[in-house]
Parts: sequence; structure tokens; C-alpha cells
Amino acid sequence: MIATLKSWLAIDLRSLAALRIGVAVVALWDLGVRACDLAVHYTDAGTLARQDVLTWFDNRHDLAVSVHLLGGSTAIQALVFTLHAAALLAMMLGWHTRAATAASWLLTLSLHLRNPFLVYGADVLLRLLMLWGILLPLGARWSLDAATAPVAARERTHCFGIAAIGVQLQVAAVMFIAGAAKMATPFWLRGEGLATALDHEFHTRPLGFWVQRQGWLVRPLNHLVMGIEGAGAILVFAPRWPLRVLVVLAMWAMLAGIASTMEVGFFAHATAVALLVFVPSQAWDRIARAVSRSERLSRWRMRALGLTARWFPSARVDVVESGSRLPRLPHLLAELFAAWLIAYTAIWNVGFWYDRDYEPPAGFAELGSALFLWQQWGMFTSIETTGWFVVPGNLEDGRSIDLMANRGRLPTLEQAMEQPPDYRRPQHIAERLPNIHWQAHFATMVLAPDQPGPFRYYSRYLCREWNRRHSGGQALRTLQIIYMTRPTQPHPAAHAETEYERRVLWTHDCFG
Amino acid sequence: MAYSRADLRGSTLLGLRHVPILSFCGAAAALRCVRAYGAIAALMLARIFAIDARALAALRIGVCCVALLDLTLRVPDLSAHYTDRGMLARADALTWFRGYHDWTFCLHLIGGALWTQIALFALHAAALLCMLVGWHTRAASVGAWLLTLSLTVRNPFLSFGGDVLLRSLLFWMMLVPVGAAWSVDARRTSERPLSYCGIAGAGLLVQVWLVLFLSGLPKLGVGAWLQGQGLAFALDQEETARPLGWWLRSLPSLNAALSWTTVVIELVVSTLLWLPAWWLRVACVMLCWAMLAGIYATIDVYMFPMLTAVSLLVFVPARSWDWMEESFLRSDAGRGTRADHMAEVMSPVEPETGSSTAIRWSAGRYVREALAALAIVYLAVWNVGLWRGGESYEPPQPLAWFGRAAMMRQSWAMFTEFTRTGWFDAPGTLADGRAVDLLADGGPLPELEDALSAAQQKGRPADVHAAYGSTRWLSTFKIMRQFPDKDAHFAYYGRYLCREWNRRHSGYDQIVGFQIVFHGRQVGAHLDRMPVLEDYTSTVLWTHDCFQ
Repeated sequence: MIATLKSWLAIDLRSLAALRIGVAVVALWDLGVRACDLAVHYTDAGTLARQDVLTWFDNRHDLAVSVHLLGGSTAIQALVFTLHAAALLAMMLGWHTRAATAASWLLTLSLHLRNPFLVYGADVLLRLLMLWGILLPLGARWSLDAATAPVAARERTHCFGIAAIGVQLQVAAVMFIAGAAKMATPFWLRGEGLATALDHEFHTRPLGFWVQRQGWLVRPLNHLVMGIEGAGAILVFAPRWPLRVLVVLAMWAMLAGIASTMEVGFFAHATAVALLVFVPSQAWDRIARAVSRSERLSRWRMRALGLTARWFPSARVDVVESGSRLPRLPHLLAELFAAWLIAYTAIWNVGFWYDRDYEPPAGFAELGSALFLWQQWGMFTSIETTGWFVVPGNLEDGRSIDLMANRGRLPTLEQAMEQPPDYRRPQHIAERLPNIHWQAHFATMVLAPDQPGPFRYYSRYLCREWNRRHSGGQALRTLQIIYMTRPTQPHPAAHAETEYERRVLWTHDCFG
Repeated sequence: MAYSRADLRGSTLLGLRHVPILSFCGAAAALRCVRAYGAIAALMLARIFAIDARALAALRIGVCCVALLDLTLRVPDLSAHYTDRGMLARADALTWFRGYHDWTFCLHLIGGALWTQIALFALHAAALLCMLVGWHTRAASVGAWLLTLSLTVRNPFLSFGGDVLLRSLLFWMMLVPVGAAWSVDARRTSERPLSYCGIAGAGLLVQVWLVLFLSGLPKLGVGAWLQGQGLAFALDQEETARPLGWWLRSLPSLNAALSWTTVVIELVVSTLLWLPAWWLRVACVMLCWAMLAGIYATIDVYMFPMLTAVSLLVFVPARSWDWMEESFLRSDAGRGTRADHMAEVMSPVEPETGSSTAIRWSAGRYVREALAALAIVYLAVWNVGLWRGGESYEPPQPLAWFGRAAMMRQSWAMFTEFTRTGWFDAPGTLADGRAVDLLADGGPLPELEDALSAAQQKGRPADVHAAYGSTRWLSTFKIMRQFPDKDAHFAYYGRYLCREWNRRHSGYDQIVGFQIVFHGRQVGAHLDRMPVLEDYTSTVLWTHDCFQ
């Protein structure tokens, strides 16, 4: 029984190594994107000061730790970001892998708690993968740890255990819930789901608009997406390796399609990386054979190994494997924790399916909220409106300025005065905001228009920083956050301007 | 500049003897002459500013012990003072104390739950313990300093003078070699300097002197002290007076003598510490210690006298340490292995290697001395500015940044403002109309029975000093009283009392609302007799409605 399970569900160590490198690279890339808005998003002079985020959480995550709260200045945030990047780099190289993974997870969690408005699907997935990664031997292959480990440590080829099963279930759950949620949505079943999703101009790229207009293409694709997500998530567990490879390739193709038609940040990248856990040994063997046939590559590899041995002669060997006979108690605890994680994830996802305000039972909930295990994968199933934002401001001398002139960040006087607030539909709505984090920030406002928090904090940022730089007649008196919106529809039409409703979400008096 | 003890004793005269002869020999000789005089000046300075390695070690051990004691005394109120369920949630701290938090960093803000604070306290204690035994002393002292700043900033309602002194001392101790003797580090290295002389050492000495001198100087501008009544006024502050002090308060002639003695010790004796005669230094340190012992016995200013006494150890000259070591070793000789072990730990260095070891000028030392120079400039500018510009003084920019980030802003004027003294209570009403006193335990949330029985007792408590929960709570109430117009103080504290009381009690036991009342009288109004209830007037400082 166990042997069958083992041959079926064990993960190849190379898959885990690929997962490790992939997660670290995507997370580093994302950190770089976030660092562009270091002062705007993470300091007390930014869109969400520390007291605001703590007020917003209102003790909901008080068991969690956020290192990023330790200072409100740009210098301290830069320091923490540097630490974070160092941890991710160590994880990528596989240097003290387990510690590096744990540090990366903690700092990622901390970053997300510092500014929760910027978090979107890919962030949640990366964070969960890092948490699972702590329990798995991510550094057993293709790492500095492995390069300097004794040969005996390289004997094992697979990893099996509760944690190994758990990470596969987690990745499959992302796909399965995304598919199942679509199957429970009438407009997806009618074949109009994809067209509606692509009508969400907030995210759609030019290629997406083109696909949406091709009636013959969009309907089959709609069902294909549902099929790949729903059935693929089950078929990927198939005990036949060519089928597995096929499913993974199909999913990658779908993700490539999503990434080229929609602006979803790193979601496609992160999911593609997560699917690496399903790549079977046979596939790696074939790749390895192809690589070893190439002589130049293997020579390069030998040189790299030599350099590694010279530069990191004493990298710690840390190849404790899930399911191995190595240290008993820590290993047992890790497996117990993995079992708890599986149970929590299952309960949470089922509970959330039935009730959007679901709270897991007490005892479960505390640890879950401390580890920030919140997840939600029903994507593109409740898109009711689409549109873009206009933020007009009024100066003391009566002039009207455009506070979105710098794409969400505080504009300079020249930028803001260049032209009055423009309510015509912009050419590329998806490019009105700099990146996915800004889109998530504004999406928070649309999704919870009755919560004053996000509006108030953002308006306060604009007022405070503008009036710090300008005074007298140029001081900012009032501003509005306006959502230019229309309902989404599956049938592409030339969206005339009259369709859009000017919905004032928030009016702010800077001196009130 | 580091000199061994042998250098310091003999070479001054040696330099003097050669200088006149050389000075007649032309330009080259003139240069040599300048160098020689420079060397003499350096040696003179060294005699003043050199600190014995054992003095630094004693300072390290003393400060760590006091800091550990302080940390232990903070533990009972861990939840009430430092978590989000306490009197100052993180969001409130950041809103109210913006000024602090814009400049510094605060590790204690990373989590609001009890477990985070316990972990941070454990880390803090570990850093102090490492420093105490001198294991990785420099890293441990940097850690201890950072955590001390961080803890202070987490809840500024609890701070008072002793904290300022502690963090200033820890700042200087990061920069001087406090681990050069009597430490694990010293046992593991052959490089054991006998004394330390440098900018950071000078800064440490100046800091220790400033505490005494600047607490004496402002007293000369206060009528009560000039009339010889200062001490009596200080002792008349019931919150801090210990029983012995309360008794002393009613002896006018003794009071006047002791008042003047205090001022003289603070101003004159502390300044005499700068003269590099060893016997004078010993005598002055003894006098200061006597004064501090007197303060400790009569007034509860928490760890202030202990810390000041410990900090004076840096002025104790090498000769005293030699004498102490000799007598200590002799008395312990041949008492077995433990004494031998102690002797090995305690002896700083063998004579032959001792004269050649000096602290090398490494890159790290340049950074430390530069930082120390900056801090000395800051202390000078800040204290002069404070004297001329008053409380609102702000130094020029780079210095202001340093002062706030390293929290070196300090004011040592103590017992110069005498306002009102007395006690607080917080009469509240439960859902069924019963009366409770929420300050039955002097600050922390009381039990139901205590609160009910305390509400029945009217009048002045037998021991006003003991009516406050702890010195930290006393500090909270003092700050609240000082700024009665700033509602936020009371609002935070009131919310804490309501929230936690109603979390623990349900039904008729829930609290509906309460008031915070201060019963006070003017300090020094009736020094000739014991205060009676008629002296006190009650002021309602705050009314809180729990179900607003």
C-alpha cells in the first residue's frame, strides 16, 4: 500500500529544486517591482502609514509578525528589502536552503502584512509555496548545499511524506478550485465566461481584446480553460507519466495564453512554477540525458561545480528529506504540521466556497490567521463592472488638477497641471496604473466601496504629500476618487463613451 | 591612543626633561619640540581621560545587572504595557507618538501578541546576559542598546530619567572596550589592554559627569533650593517618598543642611572628579555614592541612583583596582579551585605582556571614535541649547537627526518643578449599579473583589507611594497628569480598562463607565505638619463611557 502510494505520489528531488529556483526567481522579480514604490507603499509617508494598517487590521492578524513594521522611514524599509532579497537569493542558490526558505517566507508574510492592499493571487501562491518549501528538501539538488554534500546524501532521488503530498494537493487545489468555481458560474457554462473576463478592461491586453472579438475562437477556448483547470487538476495525479507531462504542458500553454491576453502580474509565472512539482522523474531523466549529450554544457557544469567547491567549501549539508529516516522528532513535527496544513487548507477552501465570510473553527483560526493562510482561487467568476479611475483635485486657487497624472503616485505640479482631469476613455486602460500591485490597490476600493479605509488612507497620502510640497494657492483643498464604470458584457461592442457611468466613490476634504 | 599603566605613571616627567634642550636646535628641532609638547599634552589628557579596563568591566557588569533587574520588573506588566490588548495598542502608539516613531526604529512593533513580546524580552535578556559575561561583548552591547531603545519607544508613557541614563550609558558602552577585562572575550585573547583612552572614553566620562552636574545646576535657579527647602519639597512628593524620607521631611534644620550638601556634591564634588589625582577621585566617588545612597533610602526614583552609582565606577582609578585585586586575591589565595579560577578570570594581564599591548587602530575603531566625536558635539550643543532655548530647543539638522535617532536627547533637571502630589482613583459603575475602583491595584486591571472593596475605602491611603502599581505605572499617571488637556492618554487607558474588564466579566459584572480622579495638594504648602484630608482637592481628569 505504502509502496504503491510512494511510487505514485513521491516527488522527484529535481522537481523540488526547479520549484525552489522558480519560486525564488519570481519572488525576487516581484520584490524588484515592489521596490520601485518603496517610499510610496511601505513608509509612513506613503499610501498606508503603519498606524493605518494596524487600525485596518483591527487585531485580525495580531498573532502574526510583520518585520516591516519596525520602522516608518525609507532607509529602514530599504534595509528590510535588502535582507529579503538576500534571503531569496540564498534560497535560489540553495545556500542553507531550509533557513533561507524560512526567512524568505517570514519576510514575504511580513511584507504582505505591511501593505495588504497590494496583495493578489500570485503573492498568496508564492507565500504558500514557501511555507510548504520549509517542510520539503528543496535544496537536495542543484544547490550549493548539494554540491558540497557528501556523496551518500545524494543517494535519494525522491521525496515522499505528508508534506510532499500536501504541496501537490495545494497546487492542484489552485487549479481545481479555479475550474470548479467557473463550472458553478452560469455565464461560464453558457460559454460567455472568457469573453466576459476579457471585457474586464482593467486587466486586458491588446491581444485579449482581439481574442474577445473572434467569436469562433472565444467560445471553444472558454470550455478548454474550464476543462484544463477542472479535469487537469485531477489528471495531473495520474500514475502514467506521459499523461502527467501532457497535462502540465497543457496547463503551461493555458497560462501562457492568460499571460499574453491579460495583465495578471506574476500569477501565470507563479502557477507555472508551482506546476513543476508534478513533473515526473522520467521527464527529468530525458532532459538530463539530452543535456549530458551536449559536451560543452557538461564541461561548463564541471567548471561551475569546481568554482562552487572553491567558494563555498563549508556550506552546511542540510538534506533532511520528507519521508526519510533522518532526525526523528523534528521530522515528525514537520509531518504533523503538514497534516494540519492540509486539513486547514481543505476546511478553509470548502468553507469559503459556501460562505465568503467564512471563519474556520476556533483553535484552527488563530494559527491560520497568524500564518496568514487565507486563500481564494475562484478567479474571474464575479466580474460585474469594469472601468478606470479618475482622481480630480481642487487647489486653493480654484484650479482643477489631475492627480492620476503620475499613474497613482503623487504627480508633480507640472504633471498634474498638464491637462485637466480627462473623463474620456483612455486608449489602454490596463496601462493607466503602473503594475499589478497598484491595480490590486484600486481593486480593493472597488470591491469594498462601503469600507472607507482604503479610500481614506490613499486620499490622506495624496493630501499630505501634496501639501508638504505646495502651499498657498497651490495647496490641495479637496479631491475625489471617481470610478468610470460600465457593466461587463460578453459581447464585444465598440464601447461608446456614453456607456460609462461616472461613479464618485469618495470625496475627501484635505483640511476636514 | 592607548597607554599602558606604566606609561601613565612615569613618562610625563621624562618628556619634560628633554624639551628645553631640544628647543634651541633650529627649525627641525622646533618641530620636534612641538611634537614633544604634543606628547606631553597627550599624556596629560591621557591622565585625565584614560579609563582602567577593570573600571569598564565593572561598569559593564553593573549596568547589565541593573538592566536585567529592570527587565525582570517589567515582566509582570508585559501584557498590559506592550501588547495590543494593553493600555497602548500599536496603532495608538504610532498615532500618538508620531514624533518618536518618525525617527527611530522599533522592533517591538513587529507583533502585537503576547508571544511576540515574550520572544523579544527573551532576546533582550539574552543580549544583556551575553554582555554581562562578556561573550561577544561588542555585538551583545549593540543588541542590548538597540533593544533598549526599541522597548522605550514601544510605550513612551513608561519612560523616565533612569531610562534616558540607561540608554546613554549603553550607547557609550558600545563604543568603548567594556569587554577588555573580566570577560569571556578577554580570556580567549592574548591582547588585553590595561586601559583605554580615546574620544569615546572621554565621552563616557563627560556623560557621567553631566548627569550629576546638570542635575545640580538648575537647582540654583529654584527658590526652594536656594532657601534650603529643596530637599523637603522633594520629600513632600508623596508618590515617590519612602518611609525614611517621609520622616526626614519633618526635620527642617537637617533638611536645609542636606539640601546644600546635595547641591555641593552635585556641582563641586562631581567636577573635582576631573582632577587626575587618584585619592581625590576615590574620595569624590565615595561622596557621590553616599549622596546616592541617601537618595535611594528616602526617595523612590527607581533605578536612577543605582545606575548613577554604577556609572561613577568609570572614575575609579587604576590604583584602587590594583588594591582591590591584591586584597581580593590575597584573601582568597589557597582556598581551592574556585578561588584559583576566579583569580584567573579577574587578573587582567601578566606584567610583561601588559606593557606592550595597546588597542590597535582598526577601521572599526575609527568609525566608533568618529561616532563618539559626533555624540560629544551633540551633547555640548544640545545642553547649551537647552539651557538657553528652553524645552523647545531643536539643534541644527544633522545633529538633530542623530539626537532623535539615537535617542540622546536628555535633560537632567530633577526636583526643580514642584506642582501637586497625591493619589488617583477610578470610581466606576457596574451594570447593576455597584461601585468599583478600577485603580485598586494602582494601574493594572484589578480583580472584581479588590475593585469592590477598594470602592468602599475613602480618604487618603495609608501609604500613597504603595498605592501606585509600580514605578512604571507611576510614570504613566505622571505623564497623564502633566498633560490633562491631551485626551488621548486617558482615552487609550480607558479603552484598555473597559475592553479587558468586559472581556473577563459578563452580565451584571460588566463595567458601564468610570472616572479618573486625582486627589492632590500643593507640594511644600505645609511642611511643618502631616497632610490632612482637607489639604487635598479632587479633580476629575477623565470620564469614560464604555459603551459609547
